[in-house]
Amino acid sequence: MFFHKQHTISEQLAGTIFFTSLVSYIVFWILDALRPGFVSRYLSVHLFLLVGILSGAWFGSAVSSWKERSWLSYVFCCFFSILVGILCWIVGVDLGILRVWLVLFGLLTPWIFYLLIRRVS
Amino acid sequence: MKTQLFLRFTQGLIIGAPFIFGGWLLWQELVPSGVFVVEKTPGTSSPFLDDLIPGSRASSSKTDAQGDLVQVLTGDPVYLFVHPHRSFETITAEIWFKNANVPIIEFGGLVFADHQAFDLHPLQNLLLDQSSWSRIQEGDRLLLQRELTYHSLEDFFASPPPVEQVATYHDDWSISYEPVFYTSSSVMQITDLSFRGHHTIKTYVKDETLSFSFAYMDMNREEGDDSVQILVFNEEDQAVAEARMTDDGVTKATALPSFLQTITVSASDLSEGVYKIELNVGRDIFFRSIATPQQKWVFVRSLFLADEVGYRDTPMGTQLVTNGKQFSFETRHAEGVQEVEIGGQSVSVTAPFETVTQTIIQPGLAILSVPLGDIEIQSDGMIATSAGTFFQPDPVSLVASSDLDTLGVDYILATYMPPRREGEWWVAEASFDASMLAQEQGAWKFAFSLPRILEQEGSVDVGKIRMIWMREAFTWSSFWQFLRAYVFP
Repeated sequence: MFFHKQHTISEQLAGTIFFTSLVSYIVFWILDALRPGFVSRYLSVHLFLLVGILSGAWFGSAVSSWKERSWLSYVFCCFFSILVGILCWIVGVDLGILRVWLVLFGLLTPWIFYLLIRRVS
Repeated sequence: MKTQLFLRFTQGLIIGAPFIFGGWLLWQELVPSGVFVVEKTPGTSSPFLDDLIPGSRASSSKTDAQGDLVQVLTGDPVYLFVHPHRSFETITAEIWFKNANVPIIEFGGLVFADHQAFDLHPLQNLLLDQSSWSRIQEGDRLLLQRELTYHSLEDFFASPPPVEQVATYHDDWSISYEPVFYTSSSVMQITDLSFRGHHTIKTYVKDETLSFSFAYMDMNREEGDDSVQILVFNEEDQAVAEARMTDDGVTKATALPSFLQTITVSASDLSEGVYKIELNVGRDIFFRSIATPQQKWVFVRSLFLADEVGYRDTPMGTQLVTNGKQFSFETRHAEGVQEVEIGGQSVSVTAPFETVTQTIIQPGLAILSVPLGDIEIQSDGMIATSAGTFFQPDPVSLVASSDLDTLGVDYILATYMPPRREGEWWVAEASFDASMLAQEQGAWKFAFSLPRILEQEGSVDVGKIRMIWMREAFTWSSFWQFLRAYVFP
């Protein structure tokens, strides 16, 4: 879905912004987790996620054609599934047993999102 | 072609932006220049400096009559929490403020978390700035004289007046105490006195062994280790003796007191002079008696009389002697509510955690009677357990409420630089050794001390606070040393 020959300037720019912001989000999130405040003192790490979502939507609308590589989609879904699960675990520290349900929901969300995209496309 | 170039250039900028941002973050984190400046004005947020608190004594940001953003301080103390992101060696704080009538403004960093003791530095002292006395300022040293006697500080130090005529302000100057007709003794005198927590005692020694034995109990009312450390310092602030005892093994708040223990600190072959004894203990340590052959010894400016629950069926009560003129009393228990007598005046301590202040005008020594103990006493003078043991080793400390006429003070010696004027603002600086500052949950705690602000119905408007944090700058040689030490040991 993501790796195919880009044609238009819009596709290329959107793709660059999307992947750059996604990788930046992951890297800065990890750095901020390792050294609390390293990034969050100055701005929210989630700004990169916001840019990634917006640019991802732009990228998805700009892409004229694609070739689906389902194994790659599964890899991404697994990766984000784990990431969201970890985030849910951290955020749900005070929720008791509900924390488990939150984590399960987090683990499933990327897969649900992926299935919805497939259905729409 | 041009389009492709522009596209590649733009993509380069997009990919490069996080690297530039990451590099900037790294520069902020590592501080390779060795200097990090943080600044905060009211109404703005800073990741390093919080707003002044509590809200009951420091207003939220507001615009004053001159159109400047300020936080208005109306009570004492006011705190500032500062969050450093790494270690530093020195801190210089620059405070911008407006003050009409608060006599003394000081700013300090927390140095002992247990005792909430702050290293205070003066920002402004209107008593000194507005004094009509004759003035000599040499660097940061100031001498005020009621009548012009000395023409320079050198003259003053060469031939100083009697210590009772001198008040000091943030100055370590003192002259040697020389009593008339003093004879040393080796007979141990035992004083029954229940007091708790950190204290400073001064004693005079001449041709005798310094020896103090403290009987104490660990009351275990608070969480934590309650070890005991006693240090003795000479007049040059050099440690000459030490004694230590470890905790009784109970670190939880069980409220089960330990049995009575004794710790003794002693030193022989000491030269004649005044020695300072620091009792470095937490509030859980309750002293019950002091045994010493020294004939002159006093508590310096404060005495926290302890309750006697678990020690005596009924409180013994205490009578003390003091040369102080300004007092504050506070009890932490309902059982400590009582009438205290000082200098013939009765002071009602009516509720726990309410500070009651009292000023006496009686010259010389006054008797202080505390029938139930269990009261924390703060004073501007020395406190002794009897007139026989009382002595004044230090000049009087100038405080906001000092009555120089009653005290018989004719000279004020201060280490003080008045703040500079910048438009409507006063700007003052205070510097701290960061290694001496305690941290609470990774934050430095600073305090504004504004004595008598309530009595004067005054206020202080604080504007910008600027801090310069300094550490050793990065050098390649120190980097190679680090590598050699840790990577290639």
